[in-house]
Amino acid sequence: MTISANDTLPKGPSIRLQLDRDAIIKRAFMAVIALYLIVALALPLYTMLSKSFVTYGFDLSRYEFQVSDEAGVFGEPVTAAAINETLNIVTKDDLLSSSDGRLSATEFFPDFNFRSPVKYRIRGTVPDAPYLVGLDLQNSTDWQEYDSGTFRRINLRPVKSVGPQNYVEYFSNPTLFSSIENSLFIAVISTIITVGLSFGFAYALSRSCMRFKGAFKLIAMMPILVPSLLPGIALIYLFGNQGILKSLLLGQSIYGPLGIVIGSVFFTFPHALIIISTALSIADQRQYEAAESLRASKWRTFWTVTIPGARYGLISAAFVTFTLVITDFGLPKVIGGQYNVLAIDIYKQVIGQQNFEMGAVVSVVLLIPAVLAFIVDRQVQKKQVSLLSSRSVPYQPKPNRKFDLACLVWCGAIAFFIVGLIAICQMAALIKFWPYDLSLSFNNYAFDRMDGGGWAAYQNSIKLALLTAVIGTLIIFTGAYMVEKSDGFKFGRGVFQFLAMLPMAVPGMVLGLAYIFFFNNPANPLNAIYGTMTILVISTVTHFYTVGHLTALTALKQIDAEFEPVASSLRQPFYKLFSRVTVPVCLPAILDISIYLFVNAMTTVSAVVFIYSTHTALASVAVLNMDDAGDIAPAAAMGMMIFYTNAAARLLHMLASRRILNHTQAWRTR
Amino acid sequence: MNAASAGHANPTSVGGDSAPFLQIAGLWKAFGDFIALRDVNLDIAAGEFVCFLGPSGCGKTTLLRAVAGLDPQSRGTIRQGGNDISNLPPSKRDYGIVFQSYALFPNLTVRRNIAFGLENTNRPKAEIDARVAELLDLVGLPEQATKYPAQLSGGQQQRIALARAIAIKPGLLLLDEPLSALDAKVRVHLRHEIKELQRKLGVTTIMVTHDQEEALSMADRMVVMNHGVIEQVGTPTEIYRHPASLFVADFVGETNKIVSTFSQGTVKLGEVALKTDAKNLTDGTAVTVAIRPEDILPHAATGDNAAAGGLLPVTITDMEFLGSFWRTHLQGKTLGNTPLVANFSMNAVRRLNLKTGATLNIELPADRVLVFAGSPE
Repeated sequence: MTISANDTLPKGPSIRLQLDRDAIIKRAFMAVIALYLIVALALPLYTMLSKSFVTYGFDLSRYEFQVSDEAGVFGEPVTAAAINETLNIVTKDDLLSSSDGRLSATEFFPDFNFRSPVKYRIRGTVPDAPYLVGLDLQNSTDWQEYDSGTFRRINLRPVKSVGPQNYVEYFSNPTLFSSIENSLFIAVISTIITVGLSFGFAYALSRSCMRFKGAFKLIAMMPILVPSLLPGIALIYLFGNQGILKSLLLGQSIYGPLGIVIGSVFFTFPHALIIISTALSIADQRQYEAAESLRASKWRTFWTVTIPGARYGLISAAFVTFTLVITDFGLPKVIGGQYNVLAIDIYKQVIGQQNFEMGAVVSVVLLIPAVLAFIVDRQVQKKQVSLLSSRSVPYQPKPNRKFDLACLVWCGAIAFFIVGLIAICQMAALIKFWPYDLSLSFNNYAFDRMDGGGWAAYQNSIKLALLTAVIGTLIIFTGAYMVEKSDGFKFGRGVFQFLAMLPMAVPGMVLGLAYIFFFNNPANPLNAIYGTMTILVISTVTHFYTVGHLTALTALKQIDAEFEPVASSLRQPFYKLFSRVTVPVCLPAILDISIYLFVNAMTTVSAVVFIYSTHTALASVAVLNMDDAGDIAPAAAMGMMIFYTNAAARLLHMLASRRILNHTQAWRTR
Repeated sequence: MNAASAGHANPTSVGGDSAPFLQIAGLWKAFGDFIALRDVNLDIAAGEFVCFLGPSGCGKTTLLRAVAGLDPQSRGTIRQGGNDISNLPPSKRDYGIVFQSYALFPNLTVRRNIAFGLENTNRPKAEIDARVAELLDLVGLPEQATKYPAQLSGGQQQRIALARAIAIKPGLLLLDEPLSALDAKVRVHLRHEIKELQRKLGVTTIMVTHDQEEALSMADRMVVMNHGVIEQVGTPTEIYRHPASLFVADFVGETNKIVSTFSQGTVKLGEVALKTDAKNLTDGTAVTVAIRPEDILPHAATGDNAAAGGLLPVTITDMEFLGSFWRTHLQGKTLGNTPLVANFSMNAVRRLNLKTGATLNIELPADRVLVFAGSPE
């Protein structure tokens, strides 16, 4: 018997299974969560992108005037453009405007007098030629006649046009353009330093027998618990205008790139460390034994075994750090001084100049490096995973007095830096009036006496963090389950997966601005949530969606893929399997997602700075605003409140995890 | 594909008077450009224990998953109990399944694992408990109800998975390499137990395996597959004694393969011409002659006139002691120096005083010599 010569499928329709109730429910869930991501992410981004291409300007050729003499006899009609050409009243730059620009019609008549009996007529030469009479919008090609008293109240309105003008303007503005250079500069420098420091730290943790490893691990994670702008405040206390150690800078100013870089290293350190530690922990003992048996020197072993093994981790850590720094807003705001970066530009354009269109342009510019870094990181992560799955013998370090001591010094210095900056903040929060009255008090914690939202802001933050943790975990885990554990529907699952990965590439500022465009539009039926806690929860869940999604996916992938077939062969609905088996088995991952969301909701500034309102002010934003108002000590105090809260939450999470594991996961122990 | 409908001689298969329980007709499965199943046709009678056997990638698991509705076929129909189930989702089909990984729910006790499919069916709790106890008895683990799967051995887990699958009294039991993850000893023991259980319950069963011993010892009928097609269907003895193709002869059991040419009702092995009753061969066709090691019979050496009696003089090049018999490697000038492997009993070895380097005559019984067109792969 040989293989059939007929090597292609016979013609005919492919068999498609009927959908059972489970499949329909799963797809419905996926559709709902996908819809959530579309409304909370894709549509706002799209709106922002289209806004960046919109310009408003006065088109003078669209208006025609006719003026009478004192007796009421009208002369020849003449366009506004023609008048401007001869009299040069409005410059080209003045013709560019924003969506609510106004240009008085009387400008075109230098000898206008509202008491004169002269009459004026105006009409549009094209159907779209809007002008205001008082508050009434007129838009007509018919002549309208006004006496001079009324004509005084006529304003021309700009017309909307679509095109790349905003970008042209942005790139021809040297001040704005220099921000790109600045952003890239601090991001690259910070990345190099952070990756270097964290590699050394991770190397010491995994390859030495130094003491205090547990304490070092704990300390290294501390920066995650505070807003990114807190190190900025500490640096101001140390090296600012009245800083204790100002003389150490030898005349250099901490306000500017120096401060941003030091602060960035502080807050990106744990992120880089986690990635590099993972990469180093997959090292194979046998490779080192092989190197030793070949009599390779330590140095050579390091470059031929250690570095290649960790290279994906290093690349990934570099891109994550780069993205964190370039998209960060809090730190440059606090300590950047006159040094402009992209994130600050967005803030200035939107909050300072109310130029939303230009804010959108800067956002798009900021989106480019973030998206690029994201793509590269995803590619590298995929390779890292394939390394992880191979079986290896874990590396066991051997004691070496000199090396261990060097490691201890290295880690000790970094730990001192981290603890030091937080301690400075704590000190700043407790000292009555730096540097004149050094006695301790809790005055700085009396937030209700300062601007920024007071204790209510802190309560709002707690509320936001709890809501984000609960609702976010629910949405993220359910979504991940539906996409991971359903069959067929490949296209739909692909779209979902893309939407779930997208938030990681979108900087918080950009998301916030996109929300203004999308939700603050009265025509949007969701406009009602603008300015409420709801929009803050939605933006925070969306902003931090991806990491939670990946955590959930990893946990779900570790579960036997055959549970679903077994359950359906037993004719049990998937939700029974989900609630009885999947959720209990994934409980540790679910708790991890919720604490991640909680901590980030407490510290985030960039995602919410555009969309909080007076009654939804947040602690992290309060730190920013109090610092802005010069209340640096209370800002430090509020920052420390966030730190205490997150530290307590972490502790609680750890205890709860242990308890739940002991109670419900007896099956894990043999 | 002619072999697909062969092999109705077995005692458990239902005769032509009633329709088969499971009918697979014209089944194709494609993964992109790769054709995993080509025009598979198979009927399975009620109560039969059928094994799908073949090397990895032959399509046996694909076929099982199509029957289960987990990876639906691209073309073709599947009927179960007279109903077309071709496009029913798994939950609407009637089967229980056991996977190689067991897929026991780790956070549920043994009792709750088995009861999983019994809940939600308006059964009173007492009835469920009684059924679980009955099933635990049936698989011989009455003491383990309150343990978690991780606390059980692999063999015990496998039995719990089986109990869970048959708890809902499915019309069809699907076993996907159920014994592959177990130790050799446990495996042999469980083979017997599963077969006993199946006989007791009378449930139609399909088992996928790549282990021919497992298939030979358990199946009422075997379905040997290769490259997405069914090579042969038949009882274990049919498959072993009368393989329909060289692939089957080679894959099931062991066989010596000798390249030769067919001419006038004989095939030549070196200088010796062997008579064969193989049909449909024309003179000059390249063929492969196959004979199983245990079918080679040893005789005392007689010198040069051996060929006259249809015997072949050979020399022993190597011998391996395998407990109940000797695996003996042979070579002979008259055979054109093609190496052969023969299994000789302890008795024969002692009687003929066989050892490495010794010469003897061998007999290749005509009814045991198989001739296939073509050369081995």
